[in-house]
Amino acid sequence: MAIVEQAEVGAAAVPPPAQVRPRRGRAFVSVLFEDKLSFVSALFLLIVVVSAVFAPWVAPHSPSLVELQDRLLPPVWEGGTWSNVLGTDALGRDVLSRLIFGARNSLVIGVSVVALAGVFGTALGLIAGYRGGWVDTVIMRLADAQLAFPGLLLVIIVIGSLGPSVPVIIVVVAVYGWMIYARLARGIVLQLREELYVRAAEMSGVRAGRLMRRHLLPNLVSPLMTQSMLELARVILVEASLSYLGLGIQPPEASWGLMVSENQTYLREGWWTVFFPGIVLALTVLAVNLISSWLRVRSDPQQQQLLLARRRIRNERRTR
Amino acid sequence: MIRFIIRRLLFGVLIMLAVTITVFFVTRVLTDPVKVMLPVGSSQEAYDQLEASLGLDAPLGEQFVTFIGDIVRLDFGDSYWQRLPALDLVLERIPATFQLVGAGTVLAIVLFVPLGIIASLKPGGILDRILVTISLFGVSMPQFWLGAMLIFIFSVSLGWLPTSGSGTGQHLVLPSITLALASGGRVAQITRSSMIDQLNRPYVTTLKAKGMPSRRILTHHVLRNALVPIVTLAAYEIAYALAGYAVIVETVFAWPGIGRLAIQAVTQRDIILLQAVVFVVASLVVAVNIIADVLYKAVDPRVKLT
Repeated sequence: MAIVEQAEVGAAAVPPPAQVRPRRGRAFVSVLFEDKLSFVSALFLLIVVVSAVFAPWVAPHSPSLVELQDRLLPPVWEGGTWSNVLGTDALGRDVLSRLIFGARNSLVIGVSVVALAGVFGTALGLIAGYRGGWVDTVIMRLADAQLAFPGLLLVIIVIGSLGPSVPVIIVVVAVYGWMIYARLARGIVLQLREELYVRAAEMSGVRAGRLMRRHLLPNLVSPLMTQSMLELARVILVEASLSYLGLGIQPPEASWGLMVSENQTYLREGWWTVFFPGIVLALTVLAVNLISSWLRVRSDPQQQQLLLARRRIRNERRTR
Repeated sequence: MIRFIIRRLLFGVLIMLAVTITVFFVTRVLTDPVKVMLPVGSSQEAYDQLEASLGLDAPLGEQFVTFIGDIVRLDFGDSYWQRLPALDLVLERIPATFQLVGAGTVLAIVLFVPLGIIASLKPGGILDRILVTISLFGVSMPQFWLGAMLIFIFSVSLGWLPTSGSGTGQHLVLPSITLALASGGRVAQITRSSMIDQLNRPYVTTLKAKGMPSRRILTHHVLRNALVPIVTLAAYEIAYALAGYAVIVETVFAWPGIGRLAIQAVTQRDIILLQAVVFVVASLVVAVNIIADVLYKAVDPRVKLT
């Protein structure tokens, strides 16, 4: 915020222009930069994503290379070496490399679950809202029942029975996450169904499938984006928790949750083996959450007005 | 009121039915329970024997009928590994989980409702922004890591509290704090938005205009109305803790509750024990939901239960 305020002090002598719309791409970045916290979040997330995608090139060591003579080496500032910047774990594996490869698993599972649950949930919500009647009742009752019973225990049991593997985790967690999109989509469709342009399209004979895709779906994009980001944060935490419990990513693969459980007994000898995976996980989830709330504020015109008004008041106070 | 409770009970039965059917389907149709329970490399004889003793050689439809019958009679059979009635094993663990979830929820409310109130008094102020960010961080933190870090600070480094296990009040401190900090972020957020909502209502302006001291407006009027969503959230948090978070926190601290029993049942592939755990947890969650609805009415007399 501080940067924004400084910039505004200079400009505040002139009354702020009613509305200036710079070109689109640059506008997005500058708007993002205005909110410092969101900007830092986006930057952090970018680093996580890039290092996850290019993990084999970015990571200094192999994530599963066991070197028992180098076990529990401290991070470089605690007397370690530059070869293992964040130290090594109880089996002598490089913590930084495992963090980088762990990001891969977190993001792949997170994004796949959100995509799968989002597509199915939105489709079901669209159909429920547009068709109404018994289709609506069946779909929404199912969603209610699933929402009434918090799913983590069931997810644990189902994955435990089927055996943990990445596809199983993705499908099971997605089955426990579609409801939120369905509710959101249905709510909006119920409002839109009475709109004039939807009626007009109906009357001119547009078929239901096309109507939903071309006329209803575009209205859902912005709220669904915000919701998906929130869900991404939740799913990343779920994956980490499953891996911590031994029901997610299996060793010798790397996952942030798994790293904590593998090294928890060595807390006394090597706190860094537990601290770093957790803090990276927490910061990633926090970044996603912050971007989600930023998206919500950005896409809500009322909130937008509020922000503008607040800023204007602040400027006036300063010039006085 | 009575009609309402009956309706909710019916919905609750529906949910429990759905949950138990899911577990039945997953453990008997998608996987072979006998193969899962036997050690690797067992003979065909052992397989047949176990299959027969569990009644798994019957057709699936018949199995399902007996399964539902067992649930109605509350007889799940003996745990495969511990050779004791599964339901007793689960019920034995309930007090520990209740202690943990109860202490965690009370802590979350006592610590974070006041924070939410402070934040709401000056929305957009420095204090508010700091509290909002902190509560967002609390929500973003994985419980298992938070627990491990608390162990590192208070048990390993300072030596104030035991690292894990149960028995004394000291053992309860760290697990309940872990549970409270994780849900506290949500409690603070809801308190804040509910308070802001109430503070902007016309009745607050009226009371101010009549000259009522703002402290009194806050304690006697605003806070009472703002409490309603917090009650709902607290019930929600309890349900979530029972059916999920407790599993994680109990694993971190080796706390002998239902959650750890569930993990044990999963890793030992003890399907009978698993079914009992799911049934008990599902009934607890349903009960919490109904109690929350009734409480909701008690806090807010305007609510009509239908």
